[in-house]
Amino acid sequence: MYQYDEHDQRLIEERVTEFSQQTRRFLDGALSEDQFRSLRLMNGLYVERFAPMLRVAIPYGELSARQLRKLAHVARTYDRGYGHFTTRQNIQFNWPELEKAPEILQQLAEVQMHAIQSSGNCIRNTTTDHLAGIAADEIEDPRPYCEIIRQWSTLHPEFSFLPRKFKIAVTGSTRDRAASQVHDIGLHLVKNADGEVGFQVYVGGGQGRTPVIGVVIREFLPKADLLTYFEAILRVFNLLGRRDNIYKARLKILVRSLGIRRFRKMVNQEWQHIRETSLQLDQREIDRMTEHFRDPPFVKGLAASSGDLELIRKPQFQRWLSQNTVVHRQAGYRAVFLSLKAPEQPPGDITAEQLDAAADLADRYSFGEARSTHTQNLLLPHVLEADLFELWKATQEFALDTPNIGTVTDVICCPGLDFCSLANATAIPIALEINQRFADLDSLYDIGDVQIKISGCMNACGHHHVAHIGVLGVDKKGEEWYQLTLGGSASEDARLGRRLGPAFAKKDVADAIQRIVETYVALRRTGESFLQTLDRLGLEPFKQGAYSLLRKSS
Amino acid sequence: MSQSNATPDTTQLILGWQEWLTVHAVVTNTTPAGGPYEITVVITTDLATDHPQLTSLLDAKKIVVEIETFTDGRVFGLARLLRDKLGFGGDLEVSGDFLPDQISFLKRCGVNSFSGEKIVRDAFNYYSGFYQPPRQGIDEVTFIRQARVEAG
Repeated sequence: MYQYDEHDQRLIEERVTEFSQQTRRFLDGALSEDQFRSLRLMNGLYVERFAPMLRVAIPYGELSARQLRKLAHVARTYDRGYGHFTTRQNIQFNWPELEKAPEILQQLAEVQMHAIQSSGNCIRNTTTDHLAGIAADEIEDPRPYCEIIRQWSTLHPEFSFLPRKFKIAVTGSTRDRAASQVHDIGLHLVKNADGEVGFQVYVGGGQGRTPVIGVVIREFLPKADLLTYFEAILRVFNLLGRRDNIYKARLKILVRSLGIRRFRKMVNQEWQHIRETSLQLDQREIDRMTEHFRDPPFVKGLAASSGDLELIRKPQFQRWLSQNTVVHRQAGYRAVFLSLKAPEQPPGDITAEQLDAAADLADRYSFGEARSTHTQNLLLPHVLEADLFELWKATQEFALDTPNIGTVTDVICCPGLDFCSLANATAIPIALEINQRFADLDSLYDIGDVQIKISGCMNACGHHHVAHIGVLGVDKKGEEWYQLTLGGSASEDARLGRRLGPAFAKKDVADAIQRIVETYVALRRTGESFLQTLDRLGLEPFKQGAYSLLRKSS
Repeated sequence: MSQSNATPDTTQLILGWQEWLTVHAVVTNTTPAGGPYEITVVITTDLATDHPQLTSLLDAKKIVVEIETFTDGRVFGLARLLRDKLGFGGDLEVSGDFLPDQISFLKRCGVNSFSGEKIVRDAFNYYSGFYQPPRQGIDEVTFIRQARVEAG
């Protein structure tokens, strides 16, 4: 993983000093609420329903064991003993004191971590595929480009006060595990007809009140042009994006109002002026970055077989093996998910003890490396197959072994009304109810890959628009109601879900979801996915299933 | 914004954008007895960056950008446009609602003058280097790294 040099280290320390002074000036009354809000958000600090919330950046999800231990320390010392992983691979702490924020940042800087641009109207943490450098279908490892983007976007002189936040995701595989098409910029590593590797560039994707799937602005961008082209996109957005209405300020609205052709033309015009500048990427810089992401010292020459694993006759282990591990392109290794979706656990939450345990497991089994995933789980990227049984037993002790990755109980969920001051409804209790209900049913029916995603309001932090089954909490005269959408996807086949019908009362929503899943199980053909069944039959049978229950009970 | 006058009798003028457009041709083709005109043009962040007469600003001695609210980040793009695209070499000043915390960002975009004494006094600079190309001097991290590689 990327290791800071003295320049990187000095910059984050200088950022801590600056932020400490900004906090001091606010507490002394020299900065107004409005002024400080803008400055603190740029450093990940929110003031939420009950307390400040600090969002710590995890650039493209990469974590060392040492960093995990530091996060455990922060959770224990400054919070209530836990943290929460977000859908953009960051971690947030819900209970720090405002006065302590600079001290926490100082602690984080000791392990090359920071909260720079994890919020605010600026370029946010760049995210990527959690299987970067592991997936067999990868064209090239996206992480060197993520780090190049991280550095370029950090404290950018021109793009730190944008009309609205700006999110970038990069993927190097044909399978999109980074939800790249619902980002302001989605970058796909591709090979052109000449065999040259460059980027296909999507723009204008996003969720929120107006969900939009991104569109291709450029089919092939040479690597050298990455930053100059980004600079052109951002400049057009910064100068022309709407600033009069927060809900119409994202890039997606500008692209939509100008049309992609006109927007592309404007970007190209701008680009021609800056393409040949010093921002052009030098191959030496790409090589230097790539060097940071070399494979760890794998044991070479192992058989690409898990034959011995099949001999372990423990059904629980076999289920974990098939759900929570992924084939590694290095023969004899697997990537292993540590599920943060145990039945009793709010999705994505992790205790200090679990963070410490994950650090120990990373040290013992995965070259000291771990990753946070877009789906709010952790991953140990490089585990010897021969170590899997031992690792599985170790994960049980810390409730990190729930064998539900990619299943119906691997729910993506925002913090909702329990924490967030924007939310209209709770999200976590719905997730917990779904977990409990499906814990047994899933193994019984082998439901397969059905993604449920829950947002507590229209801002869609829980990604409900792009869920197979999306749940949106709404407020109706002071009561929590939930709208369901079916058929969304955040993968390479990205699309928005369609609304099923009238909203459900809180007490009925888990029942309705259960009926939808049961309808799928009853009607699916052999090997057919949820989306395929839905496409073949339409919404109607699912609607009947979900609402039949209401008719009976009322 | 002051004395707009088609036949000015002083050499120093401060003009708003519309006034500037009106008198631009006259003042740039006239040299009064007191020496060439020294003109300050005051613009706002609403100025369209594709305005056909934007290049007329090259004839100004000084440009002042008025910022209505510190969150209006268009000023940064406008500054870079004036400096890097148009090649404006005169004084570039910001006035209005900006924070001392923004001064280093503004300087890096080419602004060299700030109205208001207090705010400039408070303009701390915490950073010894940035990742992006500098306006002058080699303090960009990437350059330093490359120079080191090249030096062996």
